[in-house]
Amino acid sequence: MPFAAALRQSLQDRDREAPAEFIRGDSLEEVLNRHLRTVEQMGGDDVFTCILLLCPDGKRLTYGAAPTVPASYCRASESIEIGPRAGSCAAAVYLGRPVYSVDIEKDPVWGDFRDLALLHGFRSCWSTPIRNSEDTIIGTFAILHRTVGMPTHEELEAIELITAHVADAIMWFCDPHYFMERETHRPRLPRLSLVSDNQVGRGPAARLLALARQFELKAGDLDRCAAECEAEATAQDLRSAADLSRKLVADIMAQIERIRWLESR
Amino acid sequence: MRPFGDALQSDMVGMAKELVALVEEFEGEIRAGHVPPAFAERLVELRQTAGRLIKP
Repeated sequence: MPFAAALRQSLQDRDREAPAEFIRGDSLEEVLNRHLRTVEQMGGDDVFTCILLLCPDGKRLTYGAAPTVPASYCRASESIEIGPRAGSCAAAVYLGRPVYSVDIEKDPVWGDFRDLALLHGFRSCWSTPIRNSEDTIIGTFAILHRTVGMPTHEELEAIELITAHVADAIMWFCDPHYFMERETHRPRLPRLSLVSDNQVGRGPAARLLALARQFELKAGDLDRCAAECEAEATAQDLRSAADLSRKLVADIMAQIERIRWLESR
Repeated sequence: MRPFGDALQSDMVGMAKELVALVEEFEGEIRAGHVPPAFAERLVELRQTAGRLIKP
């Protein structure tokens, strides 16, 4: 099977596996690491991949996954300020476009991290912004090599493909509803309806739903108690407990939707 | 509005204890692997808030 077709197939397999991994509680890093290992296994010995995620303040990048990049390299570049001289990834976010550093030794983009990269034997780095569904940059996907060079046409296509799948995984983690809506070729799930109590214990969704119903009832009790309470600090704690209970219910319902969506696939 | 008397205090403490019991039930389900471990942080927050109500 040609490389591009094999890569596409492998990433599609990862797409199918990732939701179950999130649902069982795997971290985003663990899921992304599996994506990247898949890519590296197909790419050969001289392929080191990493995903950097944009911090909420939009000013820095931190590691989201880097399964084979040396830990000493990651530690030394743990938090990278966005800018034109802090490596290919920082520059890719700064410029809003892919940055392919053909030779790290000579590329001004690597001004701040050149020595670190060369010390670890990295000679080229191809970085591409990862964008969410609103076209906002949320991170970068990069391939580091121990040799200098430009990506070939086939490699550029592979990078585009990988970046899209990585973006899907990140968006799934952040907002499974988006992902569900995007899957237009699949039948839409009906809105969640309550199941009867005799379903309790039959599976994670039913168990979660039973707990959600108890927390929902408890939230109502807490609110009523808060309304009758004259001690303001205590009333505030009661309202906080009610609010937290409802947030927990909302989290549970979102999780149930994920589980049911997964079961419907 | 009811005065914050003994009866209400007792109601409130009882309710908070029930909430903690519910949190513990949830944590038990997570430990047993019956539900995903994705709610731990929220449960800790809830337990702390309920704890303040039990021991003001």
